[in-house]
Amino acid sequence: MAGKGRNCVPRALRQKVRAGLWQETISRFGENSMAMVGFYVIAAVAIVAIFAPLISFHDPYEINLRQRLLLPSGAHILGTDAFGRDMLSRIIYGARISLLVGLIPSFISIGIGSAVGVTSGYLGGKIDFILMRVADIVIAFPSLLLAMVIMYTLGAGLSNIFIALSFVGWAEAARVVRSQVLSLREQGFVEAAKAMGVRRRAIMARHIFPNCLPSLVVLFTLKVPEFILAEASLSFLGVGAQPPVPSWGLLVSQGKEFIFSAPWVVAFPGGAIFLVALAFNFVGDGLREALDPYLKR
Amino acid sequence: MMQKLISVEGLAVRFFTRKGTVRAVDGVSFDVDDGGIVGLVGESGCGKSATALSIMGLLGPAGETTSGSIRFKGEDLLRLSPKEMRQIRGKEISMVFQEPMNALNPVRSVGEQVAEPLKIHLGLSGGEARLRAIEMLEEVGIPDAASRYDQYPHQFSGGMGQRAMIAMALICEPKLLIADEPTTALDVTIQAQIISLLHSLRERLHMAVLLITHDFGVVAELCDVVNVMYAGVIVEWGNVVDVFDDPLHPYTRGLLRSMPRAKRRQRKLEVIGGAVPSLIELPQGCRFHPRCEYVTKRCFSEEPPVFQLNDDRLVRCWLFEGRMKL
Amino acid sequence: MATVPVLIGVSILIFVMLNIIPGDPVAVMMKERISPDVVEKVKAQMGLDDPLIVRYFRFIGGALRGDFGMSYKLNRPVSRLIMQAFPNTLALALAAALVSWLIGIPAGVLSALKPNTIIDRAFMGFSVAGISMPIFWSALLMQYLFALKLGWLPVSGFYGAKYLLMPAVALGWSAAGTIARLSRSSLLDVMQKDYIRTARAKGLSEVRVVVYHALKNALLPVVTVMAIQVASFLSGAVITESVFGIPGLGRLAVDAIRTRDMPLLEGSVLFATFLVVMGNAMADILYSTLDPRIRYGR
Repeated sequence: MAGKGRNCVPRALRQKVRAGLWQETISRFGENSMAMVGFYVIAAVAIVAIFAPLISFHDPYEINLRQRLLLPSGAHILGTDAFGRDMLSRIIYGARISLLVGLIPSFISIGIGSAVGVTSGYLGGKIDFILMRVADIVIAFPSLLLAMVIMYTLGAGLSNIFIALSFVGWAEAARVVRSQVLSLREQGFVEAAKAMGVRRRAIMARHIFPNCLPSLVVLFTLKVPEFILAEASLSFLGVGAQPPVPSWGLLVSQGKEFIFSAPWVVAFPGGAIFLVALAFNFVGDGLREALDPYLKR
Repeated sequence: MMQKLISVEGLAVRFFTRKGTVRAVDGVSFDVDDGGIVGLVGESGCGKSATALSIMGLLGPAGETTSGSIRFKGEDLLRLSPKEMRQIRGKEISMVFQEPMNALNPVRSVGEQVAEPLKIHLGLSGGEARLRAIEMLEEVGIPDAASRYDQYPHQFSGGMGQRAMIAMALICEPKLLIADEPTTALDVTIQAQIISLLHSLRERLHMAVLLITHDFGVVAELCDVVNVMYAGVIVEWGNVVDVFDDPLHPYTRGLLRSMPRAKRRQRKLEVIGGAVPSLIELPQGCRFHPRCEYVTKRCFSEEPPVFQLNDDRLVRCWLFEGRMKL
Repeated sequence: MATVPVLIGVSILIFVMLNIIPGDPVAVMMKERISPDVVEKVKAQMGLDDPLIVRYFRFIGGALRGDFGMSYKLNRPVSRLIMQAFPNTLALALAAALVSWLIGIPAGVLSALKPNTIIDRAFMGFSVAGISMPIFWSALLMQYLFALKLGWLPVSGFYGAKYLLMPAVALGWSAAGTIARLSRSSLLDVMQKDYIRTARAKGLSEVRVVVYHALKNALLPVVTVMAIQVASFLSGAVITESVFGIPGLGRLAVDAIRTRDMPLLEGSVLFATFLVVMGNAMADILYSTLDPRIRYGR
């Protein structure tokens, strides 16, 4: 009986509020033309990445030394690289890497970050102090240097990039969530839940965390381009993806020696990074604007 | 008869929001005589502040004065250029806002802010302005004004902050002071001090005051004449004593009954049922009818005009039909 | 101040990360094949056989005296290499900061004053572009255009102010985007405040309202970010320095990784992080001297 009363009313109310939140947000997001353009670009890149084998005419790994550094033409729309590999196919396959490297570490770092942030903010005291000092230490590092050191320790390669970027990224998410929790903790519905005897873990999971979601969604869409750029940078510096993987950063790195004779081998993969990062940033900004009233609350 | 200082005629203010057009002020007319104190009373969201901001020309990008006129010393403020309007603001007409702590700039010293109008309107030098500002701060009752001049707003209490705001508003000796809920954010004892300060300053400077408040008590202590505003229109106008002793409009009656009073013995505090209607979708007929205890059939469909009872009594309610219609 | 514990934590983290790798540093050092006996001997000499905690205290003790050990590959003291690289990085950081402020603040302020106009959209589009641009890409494209095609500027190297222009723009532009967006949102926020309405009610001109009443409030948070950004330029100009061949701190770290030169990497990362932590502390101090609410207590 008590258990029923405990959850029924607040949850029904909360869900009503939340349904309204997302509906309103989506409609406001739809009115933002830049954000919609960004959204379509991401959708297109995602489709290209998923269906890469169907779309590309050439094998991205096929070396043909007689066709080195060809200008863009009908046969090779974006030209070929120093090993005669088709640039377009390599960029198409590279989209898989960039999307994964943007999405997976964002998920992991925000997941870890919000667990830490909710715990820290809600429990307070010593646990909060320790967790936040650890976060301070991670944030103190210049993020690219920290990622480089981790890559040095773990060794180059794609899966290690996921680990490195997740490790670099969780602390910021933890701080964002913690500051939200601190203000939420004081609000009426949390006080009410507490007064009704809802257990701490349930309050954190059902009352506090859902209210952090709007800012986490924004943080996520802004983390994705950051990580895409970070992977590209690591690969460019030689500590990320290793040849012959067609990571966009690596493509630029391999092309840089030929920039003066064959600028397209740098221009196209770099442009792809720029385009996708730009699209995500537009979407992130659009979401932030659309969620503005909920973020300020 | 005293001369009219400012005369507002058929003023209408709209705010354009995502949810629709808010008819914040919907045909408001009133006068303030030279040296008079006029109250504008109503619940929050009835359009009082929008009226004030419209007079000041400070509605902001979302608001617009769509019709009416505001004659100040014979000139329509709505027809002035932004530059001409700037020369009136702070010099001829000043405004005091509700929360002194938010209305003062946190990163400039209080003194600088008080002295600023002197520099821009009267061209005083820094030194002269400083001396004059310190005098003014003393006059509004800030002790040790010379040393507090260089302090920042966060070092002031709410009451002292409001005194500084008043000093800032009055430093160029304006003809009209618009005070928008000047005491609402303050403790009761401080409220009384601020009210008596406004009283004495008004005598000395011989200025007119338009007092905007939701608090009938403040009106009773300060004002000569009161306008009761509801949902964007004035529903009752009259001499303060008359309105207090014999409120005509059902809304005014409700407001007065919901006010705690020491003199009359009262069993319990009453409230007006319901809430202020949305100014986007106003009810048909009389705006007050959904909350009115005297509501008649007619009130649902027809908006009442203003009826004049005698020389200085106006009311917008069908109950008074048959009196002179204005 | 939280600075000291953070620095201790940072040093522990770097030390642990770099000392748990399976690779044998002595083997890295010596190119030729050598007998295991010799390797053991050298290891003992270098104290690599000691427990991790002993080695940490030796490392931190040295670091406090400015001694980060000898570079394996370059065979010179790490501290001297860092001190040689630092002035170059400093010059780049200051130039980039200047670029980012000169572009970012005016762009942000103008956008905020004309929100949702073409000016605003153009500046904000430019800012997002700066943030989304991979620096190595814009740097390479600039080299192609200004050095090769137009011949206005030298491709790379570091021998004077002329060499600094492209790197500073490449690095500064991305930061300008952040500053522009921050100044815009901060000023937009301030322009909604009650005290701006008060200032207008005094009859001030719009220019005076903005310059005297809004800007200081709006730029306070921006100043903090600017200070932190300079620190991050000092420590993180890794890409810019590599592309333009500037012998600075970032290049040192990249070279250290490439040659698996552990003491050099340890030293340069610790020094760079030290700069960031100090930069943040300085940003706090700067903020509190600029904001009277903090200067005179609450």
